[in-house]
Amino acid sequence: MFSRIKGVVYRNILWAFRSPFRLFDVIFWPFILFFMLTLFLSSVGGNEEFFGVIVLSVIAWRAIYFVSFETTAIFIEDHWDRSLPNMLVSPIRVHELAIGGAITGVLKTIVVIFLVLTVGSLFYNVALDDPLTFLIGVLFLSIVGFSVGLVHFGLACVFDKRNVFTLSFLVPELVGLISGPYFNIEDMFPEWLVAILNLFPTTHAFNVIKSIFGMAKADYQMLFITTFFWLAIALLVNRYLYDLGRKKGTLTKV
Amino acid sequence: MESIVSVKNLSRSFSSGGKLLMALDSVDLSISKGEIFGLLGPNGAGKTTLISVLCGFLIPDQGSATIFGLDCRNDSKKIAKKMNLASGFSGISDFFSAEELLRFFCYLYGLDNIENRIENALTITGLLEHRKRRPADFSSGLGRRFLIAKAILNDPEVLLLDEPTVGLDVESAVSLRKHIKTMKKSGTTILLTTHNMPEAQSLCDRIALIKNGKIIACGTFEQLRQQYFPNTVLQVRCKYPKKVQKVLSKVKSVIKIKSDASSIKVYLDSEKDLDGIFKLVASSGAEISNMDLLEVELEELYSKIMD
Repeated sequence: MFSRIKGVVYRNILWAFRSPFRLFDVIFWPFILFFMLTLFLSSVGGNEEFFGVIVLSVIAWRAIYFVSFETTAIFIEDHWDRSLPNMLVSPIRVHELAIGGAITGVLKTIVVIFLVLTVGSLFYNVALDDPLTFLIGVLFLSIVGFSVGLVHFGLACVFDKRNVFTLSFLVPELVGLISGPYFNIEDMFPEWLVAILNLFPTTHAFNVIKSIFGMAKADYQMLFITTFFWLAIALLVNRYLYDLGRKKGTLTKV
Repeated sequence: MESIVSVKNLSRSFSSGGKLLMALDSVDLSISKGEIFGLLGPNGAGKTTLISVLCGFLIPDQGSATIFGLDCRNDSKKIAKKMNLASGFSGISDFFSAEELLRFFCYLYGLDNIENRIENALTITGLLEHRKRRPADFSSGLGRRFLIAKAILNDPEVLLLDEPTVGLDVESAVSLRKHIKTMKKSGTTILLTTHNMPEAQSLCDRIALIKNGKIIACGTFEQLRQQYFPNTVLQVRCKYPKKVQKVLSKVKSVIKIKSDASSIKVYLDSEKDLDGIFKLVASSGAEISNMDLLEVELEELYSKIMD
């Protein structure tokens, strides 16, 4: 099992260095988001605390996206290269493929943590005062990213892979946005939406990160329950859709 | 002989444009250890669907497919360790060199001695000098050879070859066929699909012909020939074919005669009367330049069975 997961990570790392799209994903786009927010904040005279929230949230937001995207990408991109049968005929199992992708996403997140924190400290004197709490938040967001990626993976087994690929960009961004990465959802959204968003593990993970700056109260119990509930559902959905793909003949074509 | 691949009453349908198409219809076949089994049929006959079921990519509507006695539906990952696939139509991922991709596949198969295996596979397929190049940039011939290199990495006991020589130049195709024969000698069981009849005839121990999802004939070439083309065909090249026709028209064993301006084909129900027939033809005054017993080729047999 470890050899197979290692294989996926090995290939994804090579891929990341050779594909401009994948390289920019790590070294360019996080900074666009970062500077878009921090430059605006500078222009309206925001305080240091706000910069800290933005720096950490940019990283945390990327964690959901990277892990979700990488969990799905190898399956969809191999389909486009018509090399998916070569991979699926091997002993690798779906969950191993997904875990290999997720590990790649985590590695990308680690690189972004290093780069964004370095730039944040250079430009805005941002310091990571409570690294453990921050890392707990990132860890749980990565697990959520894995759950979202598993569902996309399953969808790609059955439905048009181009549409699922679009979803794999859209959903993590949307989930990240409405979960209040830089703000408190109670201040921005109606009560009914807040009630729904409290069922999102991302809401609680961002609260953990914001709690470093006293902006929110961390609810670790809800974070744990919602995260693993989502993961369990995602595993079931992934398994169901994978089998459905094999039944319908949409998994792959020789 | 021990049966390695066994397919029983296998059916699989697809809906297309509101119609139900039977891609496989009650297919039964069994492939013995070390056998090269050819699956022939027109496009859309069900060959690739059968391979998809054997690989575990597709679940059949009914029936079963087993390899090494393991169910292809539920145990495909156990089977995968000792099996591999080279499809002439599959692609190759971009961005990686040949050896990097082979290393990736070695990891997926959990293999040891990875560098030796890579070198061995590249040597066998004549790709050693291309190891640093990206297979995505290869010519179609080199690309096919790369897929074969991938398929032999794990020394598979069962190898599925889906039109492996499509797009290959003559030299590469000959070299690949030679390698397939070598693998057979080492005990590998091979299921081969191809549209290339001479290739199937020269490689396969047994052949199945599939049409509209049904196996319509199965056996060795000789068994098929005897069943579907039992006639002996005598071809005579001469100046006056009609004279030959005249002397042979009353011979009992002659079933049919076809002639043109310079030759005549005589279809005989057996080879019993051949000596007498040779004498008759020789004395016909047709000014014979050549006389031959024709060998039936698989292509002719295929056309006859498919019709």
